[in-house]
Amino acid sequence: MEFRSVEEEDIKDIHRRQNEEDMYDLSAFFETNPPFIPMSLEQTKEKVEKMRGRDGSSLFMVVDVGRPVGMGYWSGGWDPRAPFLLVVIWRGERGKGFGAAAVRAMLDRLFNETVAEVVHTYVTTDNHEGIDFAKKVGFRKQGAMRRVGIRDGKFYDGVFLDITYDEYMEGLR
Amino acid sequence: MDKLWGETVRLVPVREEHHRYFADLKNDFRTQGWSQRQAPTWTAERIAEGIRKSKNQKHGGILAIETLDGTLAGNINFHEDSPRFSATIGIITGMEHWGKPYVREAQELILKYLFVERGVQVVRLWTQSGNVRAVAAAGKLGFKVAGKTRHGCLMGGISTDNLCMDIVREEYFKRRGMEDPHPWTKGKG
Repeated sequence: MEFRSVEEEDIKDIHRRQNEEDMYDLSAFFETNPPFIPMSLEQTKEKVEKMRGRDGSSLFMVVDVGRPVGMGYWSGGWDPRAPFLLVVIWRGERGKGFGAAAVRAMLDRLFNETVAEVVHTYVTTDNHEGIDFAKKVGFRKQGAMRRVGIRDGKFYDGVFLDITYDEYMEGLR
Repeated sequence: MDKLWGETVRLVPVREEHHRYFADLKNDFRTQGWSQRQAPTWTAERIAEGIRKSKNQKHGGILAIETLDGTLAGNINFHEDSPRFSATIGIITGMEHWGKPYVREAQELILKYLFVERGVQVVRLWTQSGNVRAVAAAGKLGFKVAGKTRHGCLMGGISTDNLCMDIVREEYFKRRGMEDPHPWTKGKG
C-alpha cells in the first residue's frame, strides 16, 4: 500500500469512473452538484486542480503494487489540529482491505508526524457502506447535518465522524 | 418581504465607512467569529478586499447590520451551499450590541429571506461548544446541534468542539406560528 500524486493518466481514469461505475462516490468526493451529471475531462481536471490547490490540502492516489485502487484527500487548511481525511476505493477494488490499509496508514502519519489531535471525516447517510467502513476503522459518529441532499426521493444527511489521537492509540493496543 | 428591513434594524450593502469597524471586530478574539484565533492583522483594506470578492457570489453575500438611527452593529453573511436548498449563515457584532433585540431581528430577517423568499429546506451555522452565549442565542432561534468535530477549536488554550447547528424548514415555520407558503411534498420519500 502506498500513496503517490495524482498524475495526468490518473485524471483520465478518474474522469471515466465518474462517468461510469463510481459516479456518485466521485461526485460526492468532488462536491459536484447534482451528483448524477457526468463531468467532461476538462471539468474533471478543474476539480482535481481545485482540490489540490486548496491551502494546506493534498490529493493523492492509493496504490497497490503499482496499480491505482482509489484516491484520497487530506486537508489541514482549516486547522491542522483537526484535519479532514477522505478515502474512496474504486468500486471494483473494494472488499480487499485497501481502504482500511489506506486509512490506517494516513492516520498513523497524521497522528505521529503532524500536529493532528483529531482526524475527522464525513459520509452521507445514503452511503451505508461508507459509514460502516468508517466505524470499522475506528471513527466515531458525532451527529449529522440534516438534509444535505435528496436521493430516491428522500432527504439524506451528512454524518460527522472523527477519531482522536487517544482513541487511535487505544485501538493499536 | 420588500427589503431586509425590520422594525429595529436594516440589513444593507456594506459601505466603505463600515470597513474599519469590521476590521476591529476581526482583531478582537471575542468577536472574531472564527474558531482558529486568526492573527489580529485585519485592516480596512483587507476587509474591503474580502467584500469585493464576496460580491462575486451569486447566491450569498455580506450585509451590514444597522439600527434605524444608522448605528453600525456588525455584519451578517449568508451563502446558499446548494441554491434554493440549503444555506449557511454567520453573524459578527460588537460586544456593545450583544443580547440586543435588533441583533436577533437581523437574524430573523435573514432566516425569513432564506426560508420564505429563497425557499431553502435547511439553514446551518457554525460555532464552538466553548462559546456558550452563541450556542444559546442560536438555540433561541430554533437551531439544534447537528454534529461536531471534537477538539476542533482552541479557545483561551482550552480545547473545545467545532459545532454545526441547523434548523429545517418545518421547524422554522412551526416555531414562529407561521404557515409554510410553499411546503414541500418532496424529500420525505
